[in-house]
Amino acid sequence: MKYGSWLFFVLFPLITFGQWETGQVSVFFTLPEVALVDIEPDGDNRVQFTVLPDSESGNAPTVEHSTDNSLWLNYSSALPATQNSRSITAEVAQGVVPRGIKLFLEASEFSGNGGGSPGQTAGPIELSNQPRPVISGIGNCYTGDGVGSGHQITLAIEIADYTAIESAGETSFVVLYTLTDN
Amino acid sequence: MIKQVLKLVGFVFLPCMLSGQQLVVQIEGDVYMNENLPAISEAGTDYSTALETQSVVYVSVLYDDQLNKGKNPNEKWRVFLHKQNMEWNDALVLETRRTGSGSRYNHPGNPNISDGENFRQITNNPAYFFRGRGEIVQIPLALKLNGFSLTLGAGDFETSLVFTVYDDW
Repeated sequence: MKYGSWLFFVLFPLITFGQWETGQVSVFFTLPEVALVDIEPDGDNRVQFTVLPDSESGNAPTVEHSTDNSLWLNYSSALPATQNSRSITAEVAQGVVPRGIKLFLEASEFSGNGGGSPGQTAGPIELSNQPRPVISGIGNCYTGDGVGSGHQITLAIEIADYTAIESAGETSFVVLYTLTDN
Repeated sequence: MIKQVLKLVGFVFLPCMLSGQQLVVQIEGDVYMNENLPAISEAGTDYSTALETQSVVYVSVLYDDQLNKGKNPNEKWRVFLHKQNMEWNDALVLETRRTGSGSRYNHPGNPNISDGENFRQITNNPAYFFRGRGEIVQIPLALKLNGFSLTLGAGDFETSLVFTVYDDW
């Protein structure tokens, strides 16, 4: 007991000198929803197809440069936790595809220096004035910016009905891409 | 008999003398890191820079009563820091640094404070941040947030910074 008392006197100051007290502050951070899509190259991204009559009578018209793969689809996407994925649809939004002609579009699988969960190609689709999915299953991701990043777009035309082909001069139409919530 | 009386006095008064040597740490300001969040304007890109806020949190270290302040006005102390996550993602890296020295409380002199002037990551485990002597108020801190990306998705994140002041003996 005698030594216990003195031990108490020695240790008690050490115990009490190590006292502590805490204070707290909250840190808040919000990441917003993001849904952006564009076509590269920026600026002039026109694609031109030409249907020419054959030089020999009786032959079918020919399509000059029937495919084009110069365009790339870039997108950035951040979804709320309650939403699974997004899709990109394509449609002919302004103008009409000339009669007798079919226009097809196919997106490649994702490539480039992006990150996250990019979408998957839906394969070739025929473009019309109704939106159709081109890429589906887009999660939280970014594809990278510019030509060579994202999904390469291949556009192709074919003459579907020779009887419907008529001289139409120059016809233009716009393909509209929309990043849409599923 | 005298010995026993001394022991009794020691048991009664020593705790009273020592238990009051407690420091308190007070924090001002909740932190909303979004103010400088850059908008993504080009499809295909991600957020590119860290977010940094200047002097948004102020820490004060004070005595809890005037009696102890009078007895030991230059008591040494250390501040440790950790975070407690409410809704967080491990990819988010939060850093802090001391951007100033604060000021002595009701005293014209310069505050005696050291360390913590370089950014350091705040983890879930308490780590030494800075140290000082006596009462110092309004010690300004800056915060920096790294690691946020579109790949985290949209959502709200919250963590709590816990400052602990220890008697430095």
